[in-house]
Amino acid sequence: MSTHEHGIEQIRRLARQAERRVRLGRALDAGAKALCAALLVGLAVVALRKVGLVGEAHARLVLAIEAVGVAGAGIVAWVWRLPERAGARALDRFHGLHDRLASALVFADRKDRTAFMDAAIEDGIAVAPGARPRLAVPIRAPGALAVAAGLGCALAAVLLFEVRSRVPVAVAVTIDAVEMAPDDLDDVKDFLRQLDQNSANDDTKAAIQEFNKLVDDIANKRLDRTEAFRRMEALEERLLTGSEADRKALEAELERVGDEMKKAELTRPAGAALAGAKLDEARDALHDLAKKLRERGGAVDKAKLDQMRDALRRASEDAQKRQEAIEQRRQELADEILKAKQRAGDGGSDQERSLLEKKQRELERLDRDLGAQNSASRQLDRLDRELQQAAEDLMKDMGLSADDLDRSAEDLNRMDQGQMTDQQKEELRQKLQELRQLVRQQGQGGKGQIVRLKRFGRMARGQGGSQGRGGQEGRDQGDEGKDGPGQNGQGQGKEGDGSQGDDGHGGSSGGRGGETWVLGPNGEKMLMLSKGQSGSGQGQGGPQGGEGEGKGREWGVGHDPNLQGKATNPKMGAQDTQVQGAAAQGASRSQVILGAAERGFTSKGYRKVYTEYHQVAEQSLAKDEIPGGYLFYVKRYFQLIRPREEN
Amino acid sequence: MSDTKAVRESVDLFCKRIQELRAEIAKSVIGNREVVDGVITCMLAGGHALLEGVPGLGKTMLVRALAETLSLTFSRIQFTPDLMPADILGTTVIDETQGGAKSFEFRKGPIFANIVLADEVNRATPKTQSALLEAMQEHRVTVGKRTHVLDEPFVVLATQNPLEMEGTYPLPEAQLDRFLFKLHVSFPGRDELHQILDLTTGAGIEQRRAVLDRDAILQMQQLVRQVPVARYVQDYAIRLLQATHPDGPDAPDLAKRFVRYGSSPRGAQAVLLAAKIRALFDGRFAASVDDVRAVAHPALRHRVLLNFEGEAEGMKTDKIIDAILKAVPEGKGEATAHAEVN
Repeated sequence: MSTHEHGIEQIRRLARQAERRVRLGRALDAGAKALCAALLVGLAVVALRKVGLVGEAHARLVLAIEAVGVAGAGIVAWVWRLPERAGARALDRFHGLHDRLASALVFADRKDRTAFMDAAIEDGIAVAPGARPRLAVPIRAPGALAVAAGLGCALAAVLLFEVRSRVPVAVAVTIDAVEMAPDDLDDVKDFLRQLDQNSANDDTKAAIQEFNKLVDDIANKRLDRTEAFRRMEALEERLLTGSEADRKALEAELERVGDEMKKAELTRPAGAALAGAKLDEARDALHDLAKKLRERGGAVDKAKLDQMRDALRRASEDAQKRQEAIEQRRQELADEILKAKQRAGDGGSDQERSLLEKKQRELERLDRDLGAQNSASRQLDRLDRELQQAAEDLMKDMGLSADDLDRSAEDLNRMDQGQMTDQQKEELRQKLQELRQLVRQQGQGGKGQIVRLKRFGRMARGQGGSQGRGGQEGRDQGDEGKDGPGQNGQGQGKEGDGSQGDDGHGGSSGGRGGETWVLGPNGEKMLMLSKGQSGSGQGQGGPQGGEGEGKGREWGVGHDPNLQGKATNPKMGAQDTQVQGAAAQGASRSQVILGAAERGFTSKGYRKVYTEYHQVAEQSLAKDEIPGGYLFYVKRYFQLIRPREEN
Repeated sequence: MSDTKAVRESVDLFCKRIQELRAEIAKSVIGNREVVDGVITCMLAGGHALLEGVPGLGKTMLVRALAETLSLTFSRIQFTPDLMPADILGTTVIDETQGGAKSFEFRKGPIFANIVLADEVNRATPKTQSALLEAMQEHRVTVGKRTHVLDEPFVVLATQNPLEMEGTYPLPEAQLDRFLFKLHVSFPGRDELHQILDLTTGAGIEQRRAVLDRDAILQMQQLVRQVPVARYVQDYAIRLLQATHPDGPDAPDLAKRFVRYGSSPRGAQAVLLAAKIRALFDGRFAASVDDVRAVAHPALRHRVLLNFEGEAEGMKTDKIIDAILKAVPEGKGEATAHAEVN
């Protein structure tokens, strides 16, 4: 390489260095500007993210795009084409070389160089050693970097800034209470009341009490649907626990005892009754046997007595053996399961795990059987002991044995009572299921259905008059001299028209409530107006024998706002008439039903008709004449149209 | 290599001669270095110069000094409204010999000189002014059916007064375009005035001597033409020229608003030639962008024609050229590199 070429190469190297610095400065400048733009956008995005207008994923995407954009801007600025001989010219400018370097490079690339060009090249080579790319093209911090720093600080501030989102103040949540029509609740309460009166068992009474509490809570709107159903389920669980299984186990045990007793001639009647689960008959048979033993004493054949003794002993022993066998099998199964679990814990196969689950299910069944057996055993325990004692006493004293048999009979009596309790529990359970169904249906029907049921309930009680209307309406609805509830009783002279109301209800002869002419203290005629005071509806007409005698001591004041003119003067001349009610046949059945539909299910006549119809329906239900899917609706229908007590 | 050496020697000689010339002129012309260099540049480029300045600034003195330092013929024409073209170019007269024979003889006018001073050129009528067109552009004069070639070098140095515009005839665009440079003769500063007073009110002006003869000048003119120009420098000159046009690619807003018509290609020629001469003045062997930028004003200011709005606003073409120099980058992305350098 000649000196000339070496000089040219030196100029080129210097020019390249300068160009790289130019590119770097340009890339930094573009990158800083892009960074400013990116930070500005990022600031907006982060702010929008903070206030929740932009999702996390979108915000991250935008920020990632910005980062790529900044890098891209720098890269593009780096690779963007520079002006021709930019590096050399930058050196020329800085060192005041008047394009000596750039011209030298240009001329060096030409093949048709003139002497002047060669001279220019040499001139450039001569000044090249003094060129300093670092000084000629200084890398300065871009001016936009300060702006970017400011924006970065702002972004950091926004990032640190916590936007307080509007969190609603925790308000005491009122439950969405289950709402049921009061009429339905009253029906359930009536049922429970009757059951409570007929029940002597403490468990049953406790279940009834809990049921009552459940109904009260529903009536007072203290339960939401979840809680109501949970309570109903718990109660049903309690009613169901062991009842069915226990009863079956008890019956099985009694049958077994009965089978053993049947083998002896003396105890055959009692055994047959027990085998047939006829506890009352078995009780009577044992009483008869005891009586026979007392009366006839030694006249009883000894072989028969031995036979009876063996039968009683076997009857008392066999149950214990079965219980012990179950217990033993349970224990064996528990041991097997324990071992299987240990194996499975060490990584047993699927087959082993399946076998383990099967054994666990069997264990659970045995537990249930054992529980039922225990329950039956507890009930039979006393009977067993009495029978065993009777067997032993047969060897000593007939009288003692007879006493033992009497006590056995009493045990059977208690078991019979226990069976009655089970029936009551079953009734309770069915009522509970009805209640659950009602809650479900009324919940599906919404508020509208509740309102309709309430209105129906009022109508069913003969309170069909809508509130806020005058006494005229009370009369129209045959409410036996009662005003609509809460009325001001302004319908002067209208209330207490019991005669008309009674006609429609009980078929009783017209009552004397309402307007009645009576003799005053001085013998003058006075018009007695039944109630009308504040519209309290105290007229006791109709259903109670059509008395309809207004108990209101004062007549109403004021007047019906719909009336024009002054109130009627009660002292104005009129004819005194004393009306005496007359007995009659009453209305026909269809009239009673029609009247009940119009005036409510409160009359005695309707109660009678309903009882007849309800009995027929119950018989049909019992005979499975009603399809299963309609059972609830039939029951519900009769529940809705049941006779009501007057309020 | 020997060629290079010869070039170096030629350039050195060129620089030496220029220094001598400047020194001789400086004996009688104080200051106005740019104007002096401009006039010398025009002479070396084979062009003509239009000097504009108020009276008394030494325009005529400069031209006379230049003519005296160069061993060239010099003529001075005072342009007046009644000056006729024949008064400049010459005329054909009937010449009667002693024998009584008569013949037509062409009597050369003052245009037939190496250096022609056209003093207050704008006072002559356009008809007379246009008589200079052929001489200035083609360096020849046609009178009747005969064409007379002017001796080289031929330089017209015209002056005009920008103040007394009444009764004057502004030079037409075609005529202005013939001038390589339009030079503004500025008012001297205090120091220069001191020197002027010392010089003119003292014992007398030192006698000038001729430092360059005709051959040397022609040699220098040839040397100027050999100075190479890098392509990007030439490209810059072209873009400057384009920017003088209102619809040019790099035209600044000022040009778009106030320029009626931009420079002709003669402007670029003038710029490039002047840039070469400036490089030689500096002892360099190639013209640079700096040279182009330096000569842009005198080479283009009379070639940019203002529109009515520009005239009405009193816009100066120098201001427009400043805007052009600021707006036109030396290359694509030049602004960036330039900014970093600065």
